[in-house]
Amino acid sequence: MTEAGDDFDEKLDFAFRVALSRGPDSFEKKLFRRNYERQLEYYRNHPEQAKKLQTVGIFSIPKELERTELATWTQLARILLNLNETTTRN
Amino acid sequence: MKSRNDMEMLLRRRTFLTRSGLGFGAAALYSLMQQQQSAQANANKGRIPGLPGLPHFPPRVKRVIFLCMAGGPSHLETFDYKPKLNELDGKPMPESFTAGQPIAQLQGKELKVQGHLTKFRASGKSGTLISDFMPWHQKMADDICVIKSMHTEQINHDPAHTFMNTGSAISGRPSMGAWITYGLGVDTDELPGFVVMTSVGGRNPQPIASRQWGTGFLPSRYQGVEFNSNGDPVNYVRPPGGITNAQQREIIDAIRQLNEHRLEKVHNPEIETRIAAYEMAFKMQTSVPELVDLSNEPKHVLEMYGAKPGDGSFASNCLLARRLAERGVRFIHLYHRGWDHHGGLVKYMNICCGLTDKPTWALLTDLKQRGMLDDTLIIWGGEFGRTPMSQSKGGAGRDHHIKGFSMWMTGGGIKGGTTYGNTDELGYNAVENPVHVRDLHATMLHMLGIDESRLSVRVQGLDMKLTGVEPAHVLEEILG
Repeated sequence: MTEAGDDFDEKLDFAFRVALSRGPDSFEKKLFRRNYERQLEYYRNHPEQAKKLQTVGIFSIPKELERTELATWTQLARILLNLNETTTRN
Repeated sequence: MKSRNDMEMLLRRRTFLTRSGLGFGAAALYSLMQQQQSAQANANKGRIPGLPGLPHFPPRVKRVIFLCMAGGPSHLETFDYKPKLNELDGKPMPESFTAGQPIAQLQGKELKVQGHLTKFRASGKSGTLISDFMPWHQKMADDICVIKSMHTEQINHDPAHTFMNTGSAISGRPSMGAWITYGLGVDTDELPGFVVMTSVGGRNPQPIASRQWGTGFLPSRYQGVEFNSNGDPVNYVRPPGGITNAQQREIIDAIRQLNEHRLEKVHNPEIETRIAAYEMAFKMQTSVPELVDLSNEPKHVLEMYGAKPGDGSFASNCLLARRLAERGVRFIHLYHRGWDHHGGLVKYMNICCGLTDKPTWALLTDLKQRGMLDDTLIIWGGEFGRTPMSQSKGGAGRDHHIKGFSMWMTGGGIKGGTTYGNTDELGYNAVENPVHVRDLHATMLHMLGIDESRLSVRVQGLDMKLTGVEPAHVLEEILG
């Protein structure tokens, strides 16, 4: 959220490199884009849900982070971190 | 397995054709692959199918509940009464029995006969002898068939469990629950086909390794899933706050699409297992809380079992076993750890039987009342029995014993009120109709409509079976 650039592509690319040591291909980009838009729309309409999601865990959230955006990327990270490619070596 | 091999071949060919520039080949293969993949995707989403051609013949039961009394209950204080044992109480054990025999902790010690540490009672109309440690078993004497001539090959707990579960003492073979779900598939897509639960209480509970319900060389999706008996049955089964079920569905779908995308590139069959596991996990977020919510169980049922929801007891596990059976789970394995009675046998038998005797009766009675005993096989027993010789690690007890011990079976028309086989006059060797572990497996498979000799998988050039290489016998005489 703070280390990658501001736009979606830069953020996704950063996330992929940290988790998978490679960038996303066009299929993956498209799929994450679609999910980004859907999740963002949901948390924009339900800001209280974004807040609830951010009470999970003990990490204290930097004040400068925008809550809706953070909740959306939390969801995208859940996808990325749960991929077979992420959790196994082969 | 054949279709998966075909698909792997196709994938390899496609990679080859694409990379070698023969684009037309890839194009022609593409439509064929699409069909196969959609079939595969359906299989991933839905319930696990069985093998084609199985069951081999009409099954007598649909499912198995295996009640494992881990530690090795004494057959001489449960089902195997020998007057001669009391006569020789305290006297040296005749060497004709023990010379050259495998002995566990009593090795090198003076071997003395230990008489029965309880009384036996002719129970039910059948008059089956059952010890006074088990008053509730005495009530179900006419329902069960006691096999008094079991024998096994492993004298220590872990290898003996491995032997009982996989037919081999060498770890890494599929467990019986895995074999059965592999062969027959599963009647639910909401829960795993093979569920394990454990409870504790008694003397020196031995650990049970999770590989006891492992899948060995079968695909991982057939392995047993352990439910916690305390707290949430499955860790993190409830989604965190701020995430709706619909969102969770979208996340799982996205993961599936990306994993399928990956599968196309690297064709690792374990990715399919993971895809199926995520789908199952999502469904379990609904099905598991419903499963363990005992609030709709009538009070008299809870009292019959002696179950207090969430207490992690064998009683609660028995009630959950019934609920799992009702929901289409194929193999339900309960372990109660605490039967390793090297010493203080009377005290610990009272504890172990106090925790398991009535719940076992309740499970049998409940299934019977619901008509489910007709298509459920219940098997009760430990990984081995205990010596006719005494050991006293804090009060009289008995050591591990593998040459003769008792188990019982019921359900699916098995002849109740009967016994099968027998040990010698001191309860040492199974002498009449000996039943090896592989015979137990063969009989269990037979009850499920499986011919043990035809459920095999070729691994490293060998046709592997649950029952192993040597001839296995179905106990035809006990079948109804």
